[in-house]
Amino acid sequence: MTIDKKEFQKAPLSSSIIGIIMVIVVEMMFFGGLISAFVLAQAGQVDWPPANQPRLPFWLTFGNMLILLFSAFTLYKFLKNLKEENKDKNTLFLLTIVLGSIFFMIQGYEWVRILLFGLKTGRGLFTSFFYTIIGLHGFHVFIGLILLSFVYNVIRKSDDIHKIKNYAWTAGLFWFFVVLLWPVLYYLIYWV
Amino acid sequence: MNTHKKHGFWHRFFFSLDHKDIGFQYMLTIFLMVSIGGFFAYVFRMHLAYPDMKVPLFGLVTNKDYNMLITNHGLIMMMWLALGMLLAVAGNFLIPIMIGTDDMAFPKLNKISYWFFLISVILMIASFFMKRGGFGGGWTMYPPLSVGDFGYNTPYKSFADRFFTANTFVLLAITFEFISLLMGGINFFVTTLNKRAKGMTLTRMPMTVWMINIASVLFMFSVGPLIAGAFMLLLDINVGTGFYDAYRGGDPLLWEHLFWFFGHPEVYVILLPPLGFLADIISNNSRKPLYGYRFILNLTLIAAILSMMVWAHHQFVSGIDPRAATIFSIFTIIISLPFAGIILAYIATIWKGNLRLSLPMKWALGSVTLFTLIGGFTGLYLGAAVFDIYAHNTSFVVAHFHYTLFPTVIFGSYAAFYYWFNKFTGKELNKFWGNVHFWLTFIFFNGFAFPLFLLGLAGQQRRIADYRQFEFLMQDPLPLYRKIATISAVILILSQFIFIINFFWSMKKGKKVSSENPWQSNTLEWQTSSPPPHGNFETYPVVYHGPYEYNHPDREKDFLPQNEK
Ligand code: HEM
Ligand SMILES: [Cu+2]
Repeated sequence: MTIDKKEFQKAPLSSSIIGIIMVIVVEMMFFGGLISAFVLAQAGQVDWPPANQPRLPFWLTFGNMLILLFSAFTLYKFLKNLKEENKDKNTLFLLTIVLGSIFFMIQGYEWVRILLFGLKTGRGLFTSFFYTIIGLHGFHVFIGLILLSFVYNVIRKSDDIHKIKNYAWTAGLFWFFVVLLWPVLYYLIYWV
Repeated sequence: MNTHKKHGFWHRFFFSLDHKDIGFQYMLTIFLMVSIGGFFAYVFRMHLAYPDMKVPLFGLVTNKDYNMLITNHGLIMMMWLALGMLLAVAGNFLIPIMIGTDDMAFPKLNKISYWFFLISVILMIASFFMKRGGFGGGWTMYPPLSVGDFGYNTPYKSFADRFFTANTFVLLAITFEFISLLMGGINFFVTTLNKRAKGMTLTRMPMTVWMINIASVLFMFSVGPLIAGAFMLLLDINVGTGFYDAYRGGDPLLWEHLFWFFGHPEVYVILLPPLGFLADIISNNSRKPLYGYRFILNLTLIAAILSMMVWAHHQFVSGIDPRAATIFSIFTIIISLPFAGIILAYIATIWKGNLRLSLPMKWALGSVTLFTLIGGFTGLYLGAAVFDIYAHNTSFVVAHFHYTLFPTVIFGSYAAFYYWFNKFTGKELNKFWGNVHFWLTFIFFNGFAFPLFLLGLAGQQRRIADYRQFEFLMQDPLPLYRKIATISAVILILSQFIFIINFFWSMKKGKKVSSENPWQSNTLEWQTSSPPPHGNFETYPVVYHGPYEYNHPDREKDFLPQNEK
């Protein structure tokens, strides 16, 4: 049997939103661990990044970062406008997915190119960290895109604005995390 | 609201979504793991006392076997028994019913989390059978030993050669288990926030519920860096990255930091749930309100935060800067203050109460005494770098953590088993054998662990397979101490069979409980039938009081259930 919501203590946030916040906490600590390992490794090195290796594509990735940030902006707009009257206007949401996918593809293209240029693992810490951290972020972008697509499907099919809000915010929070993480990584790995 | 359908074993063990069934699945799986871990302990303890002996049921123990046995004993007991029993089993059985609800917020996620746990167990057991033998790098898995048999020098043949090693499998097993615990922890936390019965405000929740939740959240805050570290270690093994390879500019110390950043909070993740059971059991058996409910909670939160700033006390001899060591020493010593406060609150609860020396209370008192007087106290010594430089890596440390872990994990779990068994099975445990079990465990635990302090102070290093190579460790009475420890450990392990038999026998054939609330307790789980139906309550309870209203002067009864006006 399903229970009437009123039987419970009043809840501050929906279950799935609390759940995703906890997931984000774990993820922050996870990347925190990786980043501090990276920063410490870097601090012990004179020659960083090692001189005789292919440079990372600074400007291309910068542009790519703008695309990703813009996808967070469209998502933010969508969530802000999410009201009863205009729940059909989900183009902004779709745009977020498209922009995210573009980011993902450019990033993948870049990876392959760098690999072909001969930046291989086993050639020192810098490359190891580069592939690990950027790869893990890419993996999270991928998961985020799957979540968003799943939610997009729900938004299209459902009429229940509460359900839509709940789903969109849950996936949205995760996406914001993935997006906002990127400038930090960009700064540490490409810029410094 | 409930269907009272009787399901068969297969349903209960594989498909049910009911939180009690899932708790039961976790429990049986963990019983399996503990039997393995316990068996390993028996084998290497025998070997330490009688180095030439063919250990019955095992045979001659080589040095390699010895490393494998202690490593996997530690891993199983810390990761699968302690974390599994205290978070997954306790959380599943107790949280929904104690907050007065039907099930978890996400029952399917709960089911999936058990499946991940099961996979982790399978991977772990599979790791014993790898071609190069089980993992022997120590439960803390320091590189370079954890990278391969000979560290980074193991020749790289092929990916399969690296992948099908115990090192890889153990790391994967731990990863799966942590994912499982994270899913479980998120479920507990969400359930507690969003599914409490009407009137169950946060400060009316029983301590058990609070503590399991704080432990789960602490776990989430601390586990990330370890997962990151384990991922890098996996890459080092399988892809050859070299994060921890000093030769290529990496840093083996990095692992120690990532591991202990999680490792120290983990010991509090393990400590907190038993402190929760103890609060409930002690208050109930002293027939007095718990002393300082909010005081205890605040102290716990302080300790949880501090616990993330003390990790380097495990690394005092790893070339750490003495100034940093001093800071970590100071934090370590400060962190015992909140726990001292909590224990004092428990003692104040017992003070002048109408003590009922029931079995759960005996375990609870045993737990508090041993943990405080010996376990926590010796931690303080180890926390001071000046002492630890001598004691590190000796049996003294082994004794310290057995005196902290055994009273919390084992005594705490037994307190909970003897307390809640009748609720979840509707049967009573045999009292006589319960008492025998308690006294044997209490006496022989001390008999096993105390000599380790003396051995450690005499300079006996840990993780050594055969002490005959050190003359000073073969002088009287040290071999005798080792024998006392071993014989006690064997009796200790054997006495646990009393419990196992009692447990399963009582579940099948035990006396039916005479009342639904035999301990005359206030909390909600006692206000429903034993065993509780699917969905836990016939009608949803409404809560009017805190959980510890014992011996209220205006009442005739000496207790006041939370759902009675
Ligand atoms: C008063 C609180 C405590 C203090 C001050 C403390 C301090 C310490 C210190 C300094 C060490 C490192 C010793 C060394 O390796 O040289 C240590 C080891 C250890 N402690 Fe504690 N501890 C406390 C409570 C606990 C609790 C509650 C647990 C578990 C429930 C625990 C479990 C362990 C374990 C497992 C180790 C050994 C890890 C290893 O090297 O294998 N401790 N403790
Ligand atoms: Cu510690």
